[in-house]
Amino acid sequence: MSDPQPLKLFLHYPDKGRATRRIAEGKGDLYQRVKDAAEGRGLPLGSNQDLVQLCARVDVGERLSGQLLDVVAETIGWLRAAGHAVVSETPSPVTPQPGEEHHA
Amino acid sequence: MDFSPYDLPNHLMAKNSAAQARQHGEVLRVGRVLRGHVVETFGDRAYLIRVGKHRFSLQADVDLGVGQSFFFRVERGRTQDELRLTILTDPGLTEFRLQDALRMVLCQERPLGELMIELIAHLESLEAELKPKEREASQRLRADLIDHVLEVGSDGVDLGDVLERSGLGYEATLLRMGLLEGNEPDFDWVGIDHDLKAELLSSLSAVGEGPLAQELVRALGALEAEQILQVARQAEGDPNHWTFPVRDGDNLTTASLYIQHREVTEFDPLSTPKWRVTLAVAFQATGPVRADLTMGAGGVTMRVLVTDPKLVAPMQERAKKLQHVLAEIVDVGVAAEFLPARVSVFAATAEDVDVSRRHLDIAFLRNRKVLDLRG
Repeated sequence: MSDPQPLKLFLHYPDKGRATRRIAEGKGDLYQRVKDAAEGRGLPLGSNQDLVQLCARVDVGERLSGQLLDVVAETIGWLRAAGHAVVSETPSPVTPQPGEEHHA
Repeated sequence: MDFSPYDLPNHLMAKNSAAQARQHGEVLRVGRVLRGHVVETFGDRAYLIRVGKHRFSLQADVDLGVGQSFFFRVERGRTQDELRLTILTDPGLTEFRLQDALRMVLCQERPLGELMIELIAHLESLEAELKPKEREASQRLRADLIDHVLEVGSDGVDLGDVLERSGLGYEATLLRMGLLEGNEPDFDWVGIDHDLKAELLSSLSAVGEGPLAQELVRALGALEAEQILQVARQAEGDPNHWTFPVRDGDNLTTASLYIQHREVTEFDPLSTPKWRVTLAVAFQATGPVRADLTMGAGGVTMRVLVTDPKLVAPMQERAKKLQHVLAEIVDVGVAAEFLPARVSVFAATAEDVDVSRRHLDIAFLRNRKVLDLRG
């Protein structure tokens, strides 16, 4: 059996003129989508539209692996606990007891 | 390459193998809204695009840069063997805006984790002088901020929660909500209600002008600086970075965390790490300490650097316990010829342990003249 016909993909940019204008003004579709989502859920949004658009670029697409997060969380806990245990077991310098003060 | 949105043509055409075509059919279903991410360029405008866990090679007639992301909607093409991917966001915007934004934030940059700790302390000291309404807002915000602290004994779920609600992805999550709601009915949006940025913005709108508002504006400025730097890091494939408060007895300290993910293919050696992590924190008992670790099918390999040489031997002795715990975590999936976990402790100079300079060591800044000598 022969392979099916390869699928062709066209990545389409909807309206060149409008898109260009939106970028120049720093407003438009992207900001409106963020704003609508915030309003729909009763959440606040910053007033600087350019900044909102830029901040919306942070890639939150993939979540970190659960195993990796466990490893990092255990490491943080171990660093603190191990350091604390080492310090508490280290003999502290001898402190003079009451009545043993050294007088020059 | 300076990417100009004015040069974008209306279409990119992709030619694909038959095997890819089958994959396309599963992932690129008509009506879906997906996020595309440029992973690699091969020259002659050939690109590798990542969509979720899948990758597609595209032959295009437009310049795209590694790290650029865009949402697109899958639509029917003109014939049965065609699909049209309509871009919903502008791939050129990141580069276009980012340089200006970086110029604004680089001079005022401070780690957000440090600022949160300061803010908690300032709020407490301010409360006696505030009016009842503002005092109430301050107390509420302080409780919210404490909820962003990584507590002693936290596990990976808690850490993931702290990172996800750190405010860095607030607008991006809202955008995703707006674009994908209905397409991802099972997605958990609850975390966004307790996102740090949402809490800071809500508090700011609840108080009038005054010292509390000034503190909030300062904290939001630091958070937005972190967001912009995160966009710059992602634009060039640098590691993501977070700072967050960690409980240390009665005090709080700041942890700095860099995480880089690498797609491992069947052609890579088995020992190729999938994750590279740098963690820096200064506990009262240890002083500044840094842990660099890699994780993948070869297990976890960790190098811990401490500045106090007297800590090395006793911490190395105690590292056996950590190795055992990490081995249990990563046991599944580690190839038999590798040890699941190895931890080594070394003494190092304060300069080697310090990661603060790495904060701005971003390829986007190295490759572009964002600031001149006059700033």
